[in-house]
Amino acid sequence: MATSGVKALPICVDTFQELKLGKTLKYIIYKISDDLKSIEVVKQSEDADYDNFLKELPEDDCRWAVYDFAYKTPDGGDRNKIIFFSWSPDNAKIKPKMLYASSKDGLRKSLNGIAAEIQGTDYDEVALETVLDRIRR
Amino acid sequence: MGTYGGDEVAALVLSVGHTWTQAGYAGEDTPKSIFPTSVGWVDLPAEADQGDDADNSEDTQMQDVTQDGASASDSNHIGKKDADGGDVAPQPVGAGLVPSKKKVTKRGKYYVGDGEISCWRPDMEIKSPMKDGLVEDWDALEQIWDHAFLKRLRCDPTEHPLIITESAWNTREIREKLTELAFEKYNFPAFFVAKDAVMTAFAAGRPHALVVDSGGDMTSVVPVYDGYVLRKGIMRQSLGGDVLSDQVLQQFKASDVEVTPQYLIAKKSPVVVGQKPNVVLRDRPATPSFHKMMQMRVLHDFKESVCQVAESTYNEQNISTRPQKPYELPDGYNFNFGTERFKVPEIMFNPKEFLKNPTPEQENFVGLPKLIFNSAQSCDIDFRPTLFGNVVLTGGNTLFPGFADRLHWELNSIPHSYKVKLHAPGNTVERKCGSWLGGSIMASLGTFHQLWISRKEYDESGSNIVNKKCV
Repeated sequence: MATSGVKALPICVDTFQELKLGKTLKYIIYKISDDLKSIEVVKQSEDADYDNFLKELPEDDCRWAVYDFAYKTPDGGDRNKIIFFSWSPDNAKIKPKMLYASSKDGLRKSLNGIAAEIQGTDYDEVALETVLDRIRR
Repeated sequence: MGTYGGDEVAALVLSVGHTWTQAGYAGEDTPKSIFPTSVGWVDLPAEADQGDDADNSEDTQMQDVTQDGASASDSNHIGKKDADGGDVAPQPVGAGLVPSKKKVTKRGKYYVGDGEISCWRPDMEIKSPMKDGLVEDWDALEQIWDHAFLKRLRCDPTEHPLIITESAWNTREIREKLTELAFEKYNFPAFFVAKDAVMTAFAAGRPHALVVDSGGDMTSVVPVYDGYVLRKGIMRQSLGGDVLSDQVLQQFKASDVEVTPQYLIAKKSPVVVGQKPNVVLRDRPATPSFHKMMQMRVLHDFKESVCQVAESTYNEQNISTRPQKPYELPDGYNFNFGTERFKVPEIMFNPKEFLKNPTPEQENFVGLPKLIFNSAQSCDIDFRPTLFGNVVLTGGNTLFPGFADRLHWELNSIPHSYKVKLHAPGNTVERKCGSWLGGSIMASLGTFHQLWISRKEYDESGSNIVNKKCV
């Protein structure tokens, strides 16, 4: 496949393992480094407020993110699912869009244990209800 | 700038479509050069097999004239006065469609590029090397490559890597032949072939997308998932801009209006709306293929100027209240177009009803919404919500005003449970050159160099390597 060849730094996977096993981190935001050569971690947070997470997704630039969702099943059980987000808003410039779209595989393939993937191009598509709807299916 | 072998070298990006060829440097946001993917040539008579001599005598007898009558910049032009009458043996007006009677064995000098092919030359044939998204005429394709690299970009192919785009249904044989062409004839140091649908999807920021490409020759719907083309979901039909133009031509004919291209017109004077044109024609016999191309240009301009898509299902009563638009043909005939201007692009949505006098092949055409729906439906059920949520529009034929709105409306009125989101770049360059742009950005990435097929790899494995490296 035509991929850009941008590689994820080891820290990306390490932080993800921490989120998956440590159960304290809520989300991680990833981006492509300024020299366009590798993928790095911008932010890791324990903040459980989903709205604060959404604020980390810029209006005019692309990002990837991993979010550890906690939700209740219809019969009341607690569940956790890790969701991968590709954030590529239509307002972003074409170059980052291209770059993120063609580099996604480099990051995504190195993260094991992701339950679902969301491709977001506007805030509607990453809204809490949309995502929960997707997870419960 | 991309990196290759440690040096900063801009890669070349080439996208050869049926109608237009786009060529430029990676990392730039528009192609340096866009020219028609058509070549012109004059067939040489069977006995005149004398190489250069034949060419020269051909050139001196010939007047090169651009379509508005000014002398062309070619070195062999004789001048305006001669071109307007003079040396050409008198032939009856309208003899433009007399086919060449000579028996031919080979083609003479090729003419490529906007200026060259739109010059009127007696007996010049015009052809596009592409058919249905595949290379059909390799000689002609080489002319296009030559023109792009040597005449337009004026670069040394041995110094730049080359990335080209191909249709999603390209065959193994053609890809191998393209690879051979790049390495053997042009000596490119590195080469890559990318699927145009994938490049368009990436340029829209989506590794998953349903790419709807409507161009001059055909319309295709290609599902892309994770950067891979889902082959079984590819839907295409040869209903594109050219069919629309042909229909306009037929309509004009039916109302007894002749579409006379610019190259035939010597003098015209204004006439009242709807009246016969008052025009003096030039005596310029041309081949049917040349005449057709020039007619198509007029019709192309007609479509761009007046045609529009109804925002919801076509309703004659509603549409007849919309304002009319005037249009004047090159010969001075002018008319105010009302419902007609909506009926033309309507063919894309409802060919059964709006396509007049269909050929047997055309009778099987389905509307674009149906084509998109069929494509998504033939993909895995888990992919469908994502595909419907990421429909990407590209190709010049989607630029009719109202096209995207209408398509969105139609896709929502087909019963299904998916949320449809249509991505149609407002910027016309992005819409016309989507795949070129994708290739340009892709090849400009510093990290991309590891993916090129290098000369060394080609020498070791042969052209088959393209099927392994460029999937």
